[in-house]
Amino acid sequence: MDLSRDDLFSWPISHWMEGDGPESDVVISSRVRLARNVTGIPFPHLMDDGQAERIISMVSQALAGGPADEPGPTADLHLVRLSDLGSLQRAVLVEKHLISPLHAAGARGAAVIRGDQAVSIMINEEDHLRIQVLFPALQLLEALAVCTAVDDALERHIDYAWDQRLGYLTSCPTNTGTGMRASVMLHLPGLVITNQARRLAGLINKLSCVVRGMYGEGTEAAGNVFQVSNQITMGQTEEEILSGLQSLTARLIVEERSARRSLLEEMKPQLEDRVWRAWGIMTTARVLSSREAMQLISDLKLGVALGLIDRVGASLVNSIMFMIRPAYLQILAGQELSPDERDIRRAELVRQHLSAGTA
Amino acid sequence: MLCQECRLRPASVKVTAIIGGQKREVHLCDACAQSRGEVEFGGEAKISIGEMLAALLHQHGMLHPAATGAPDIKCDNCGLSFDGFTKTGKLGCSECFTKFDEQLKHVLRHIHGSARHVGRMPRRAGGTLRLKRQMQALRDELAACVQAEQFERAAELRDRIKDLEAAEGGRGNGPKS
Repeated sequence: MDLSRDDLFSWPISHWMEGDGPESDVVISSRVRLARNVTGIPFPHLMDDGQAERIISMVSQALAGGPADEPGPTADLHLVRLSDLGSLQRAVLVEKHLISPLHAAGARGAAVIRGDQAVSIMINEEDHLRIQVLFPALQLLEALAVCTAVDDALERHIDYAWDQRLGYLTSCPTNTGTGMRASVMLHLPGLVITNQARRLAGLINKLSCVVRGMYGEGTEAAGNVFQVSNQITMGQTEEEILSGLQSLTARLIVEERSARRSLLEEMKPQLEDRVWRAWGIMTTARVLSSREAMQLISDLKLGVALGLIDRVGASLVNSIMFMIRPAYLQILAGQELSPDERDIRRAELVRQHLSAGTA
Repeated sequence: MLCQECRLRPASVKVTAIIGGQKREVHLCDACAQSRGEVEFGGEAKISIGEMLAALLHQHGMLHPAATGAPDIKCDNCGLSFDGFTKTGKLGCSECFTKFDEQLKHVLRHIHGSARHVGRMPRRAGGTLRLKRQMQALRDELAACVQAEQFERAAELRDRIKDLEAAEGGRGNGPKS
């Protein structure tokens, strides 16, 4: 695989993620994931090594079957076996949202990753295939279009498990039907500071959506970053599900912006103080825990979005949010680090990038 | 009632979520509700899917096969038993959906508020499906023509149905429908 040239492990965030996009003051990224399985072959938790291998070669052949070197949904896709990667490399792929923690832990998985890292396919995770597309800012429909194009290309060669009444058959019944999970990653400091989170949680649940932390199920919502995704996958078309999530997101954006505005109107000095303190600590600290760093980044990101600070751009702040993750820090250091060592490296890295960004 | 999370302390907080048009309630004690701090913002019921399934099947009068003493059902293709499914909440293969169809209907309706897929279909399945729908329409028309003694039109329709049947046979085994 010649993905290394594209900074798969040497840069914490895909370069295209640094780009701007609609509503990027609140929406960090949009993701669409399709779960697909092969008819007749046991799902990953029950299959043997030979069957796992069969799925990998099926995908690899399906990708090779596409028109080579032509721009198309399967162009520039590269297959990598997780067994060929070290544990830190796998962890970096998790931090970049290219694979899931569950996938990284399994020994029989493989991942297909597009050169620009916008598209990835997890092979033998909870389902045989999980095709996912990750775009910056609010671009759910665009992500679905790319995802279905890859899905169609694979389907020409792979006999998907599908039923007329139940739709796409998946390992967990919570995904059966469309097999689609769409999510947006949102930065909602205004709603958290103004204590409106609880009220909105009710709204989110009412609209058949779920909120989680930055890295999905069971992860904490550090740095006021939340992931909102659809809960149901059956009884609605893909487009209906997306439009539900889209209008919920639109509502959250409006609420977040209005919270930011009222903060700015009612307590500008305190808000400025908070942003500049974050800047002060980040540019001088010698030890930074992951939690503290996420909170500071959140304050700084808010300050940039509100124009309270102009020493740093939004895209650098976004990158820093990903580069402070443990696996990336260790890959960068070229060795495993203890939590204490990581906190020192983290502070160093943040200082470096912020001073370089202002030079 | 005991807290559904720690199952040690009495539950004092009821968290209600409406998912797919259906209400789901979780009962928690103060400590667990607080330790889930993020409950504030969403927070999912952390009951395992197995527990949810068990409660659900009980509610629908379909007790766990093991509990009723009835023999457990098993998928012929992957060997997963229904008992195994309720423990992990995961199906074993595409054939499990046929084997556990009756029970799954309730599960899917509970999770999604519906047990019918209306979204995308694989192109190949879509092709077969369209063909089947087309043939059914022709057969209906044929029956009507015979009834009305329009034999010339009926012969025409019969030939077209034959052509479509031949085309369908030539498609081989697509995904089951």
